[in-house]
Amino acid sequence: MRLPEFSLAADEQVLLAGPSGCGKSTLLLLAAGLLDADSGEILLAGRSITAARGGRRDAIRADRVGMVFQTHHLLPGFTARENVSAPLLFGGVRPAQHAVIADALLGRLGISDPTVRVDRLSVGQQQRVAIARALVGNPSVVLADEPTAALDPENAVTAVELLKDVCRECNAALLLTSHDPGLEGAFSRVVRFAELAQTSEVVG
Amino acid sequence: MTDLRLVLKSLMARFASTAVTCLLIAIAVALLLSMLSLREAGRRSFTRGVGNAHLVVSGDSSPLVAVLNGLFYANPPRAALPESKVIEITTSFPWAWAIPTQLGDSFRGFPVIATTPQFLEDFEPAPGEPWVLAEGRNIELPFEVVLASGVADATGLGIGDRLHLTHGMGVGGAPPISTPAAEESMVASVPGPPVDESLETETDDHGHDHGHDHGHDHGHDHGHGHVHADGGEHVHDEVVFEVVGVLEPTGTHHDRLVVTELQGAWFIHAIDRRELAGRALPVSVEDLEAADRLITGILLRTPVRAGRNSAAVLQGAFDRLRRDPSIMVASPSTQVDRLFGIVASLDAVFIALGGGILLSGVISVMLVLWNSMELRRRQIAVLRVIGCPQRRILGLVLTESAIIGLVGAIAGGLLAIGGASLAARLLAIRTGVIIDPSVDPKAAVLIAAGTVALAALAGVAPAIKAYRTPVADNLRPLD
Repeated sequence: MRLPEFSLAADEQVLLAGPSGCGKSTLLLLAAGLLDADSGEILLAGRSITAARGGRRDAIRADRVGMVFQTHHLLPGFTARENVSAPLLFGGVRPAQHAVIADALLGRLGISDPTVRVDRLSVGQQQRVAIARALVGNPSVVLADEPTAALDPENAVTAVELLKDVCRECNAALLLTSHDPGLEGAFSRVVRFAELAQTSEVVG
Repeated sequence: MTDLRLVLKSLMARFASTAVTCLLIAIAVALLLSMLSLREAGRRSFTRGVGNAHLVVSGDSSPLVAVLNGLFYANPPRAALPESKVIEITTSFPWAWAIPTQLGDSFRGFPVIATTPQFLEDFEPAPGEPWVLAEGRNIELPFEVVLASGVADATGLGIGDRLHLTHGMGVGGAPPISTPAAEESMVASVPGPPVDESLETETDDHGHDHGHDHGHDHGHDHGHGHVHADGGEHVHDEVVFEVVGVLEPTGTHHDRLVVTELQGAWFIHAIDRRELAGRALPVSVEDLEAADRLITGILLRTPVRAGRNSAAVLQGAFDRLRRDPSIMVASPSTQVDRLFGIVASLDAVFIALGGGILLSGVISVMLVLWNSMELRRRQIAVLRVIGCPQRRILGLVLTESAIIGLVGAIAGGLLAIGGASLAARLLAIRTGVIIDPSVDPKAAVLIAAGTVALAALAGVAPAIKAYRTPVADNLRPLD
């Protein structure tokens, strides 16, 4: 995969469209520093995540990036509050403040009982907990990888609107991938992955 | 949210496997601790239980058996010594004291020691701690009995109560020494408590006087017509003994003793002997013959005086007695040391066993964590996504294994305290050996720390596995 250039403004909300398996997720993992690029540089709010290694890269991620996945990837057995608080633990926020910050965000996302265990929530509620977790550390950018794939079309639109609203409120840029053309109307900027990246052909 | 909470919740999420591994470690720790504490306590108790006796003389076949029988009342001594021998030994040397004892009878499973009043005056059941009468007085006349505290507590008997003794084995003959188990079952089958209304009535009916002169007119009930051709255990219900004193607890196995006067015990054996020979039965202690006047052991103490080499005096007395082939002489403290020398190798086996169980517990911690890392790859990936550094993942897993070790060690410690006191109680009930099962705090801390360290070590491999968990691969959607 070759990606000549792509940039996202500080408060921009972009839909990265393309069929399943085309490499959208890989791009997001590269951006979060969870995969290494062979060459080139990725900057997050001015800091290079490609240049950072090990713990420093983890620190940049904790500080600048929030991620939402198709399957919510919550910590099972833990409450909604604990799931949302977890990034604060690694972001160096004092434990005494965790509950206040997490509960406010959960309340904003319509989860009224933060002490409920996430496995007892509906799929839609779990996705909202995942959104709260992505935003709790005041990230510069939220990377959402097919966040609506597990939801029905009606809920998908609602979830995306909610995600857009809270990102705006939190001053975080949003890069959302989806193979669902139904979401394109919700974004002012839609980038087609095929136009952005030149996927190298497999020889052999 | 804290790291500890993260770890504890992970452990609780896998409650069953966490509990089983903790239990395994707890059992190993408990086994190790109880072995160590019981070994020390047992040794202390045996050393203490020797009392202030320097030597034991008996007709036993080995010095260790002489001590176990003569001072720990394990079994009635095999052979008896004639009174002439006793006089010879006791007058041959200026002993601090020499106390003849005759063992072989029992009362409801408690050993009866027939001896002289000196036993309660000069012999100290623990060094420096003489007998103390809780109530009543020392034995003076035949058929008088003083109960040690354990017997008084267990039977509820007190001053003025009357009882029959059970003949443990025939002193005159040489029947086989019964095993403790067999002895216990025999005693258990002995009918009826000796002190009840019927006994009181019966003795009153026969007009026995339990005043100060029973030595002269104390008879037996011919109507019962006991014939004990086998010389085995039986109740001497033809002779009634009376409790004249109760002792304070000593905290030793001597608290299981029933102390009675020597002539009374000779009297009941004389009845047996003559019944067997078809002769006229004795009616009072005046009728005792030399053949009746047998003892099974002598407790001896050499004089200890300032400025004299007491050890040399003791050694000299010991060597002189050893030259007599008809007796066995033993030094209790030497024999107790020997006994623990024998038992030490057995201890080592148990301690090695505990160590082995601990090791297998630690290995199971490793396996359980290793497997759980496999199942928690996604969770680890998620933690990395939300900013958890690799090194912190390592720390979380090591903390998890150390906590299993800590919980196991604490549970094991509690189990050991409970187990050791249970073992001590059983030992006291079965053998009368009183031990103080306190766990040595130094050993406890050392074992607990070692367990936590071992458990943490067991977490290293799973922690490295977690450390190396690839993040991107484990974030793919579940299908």
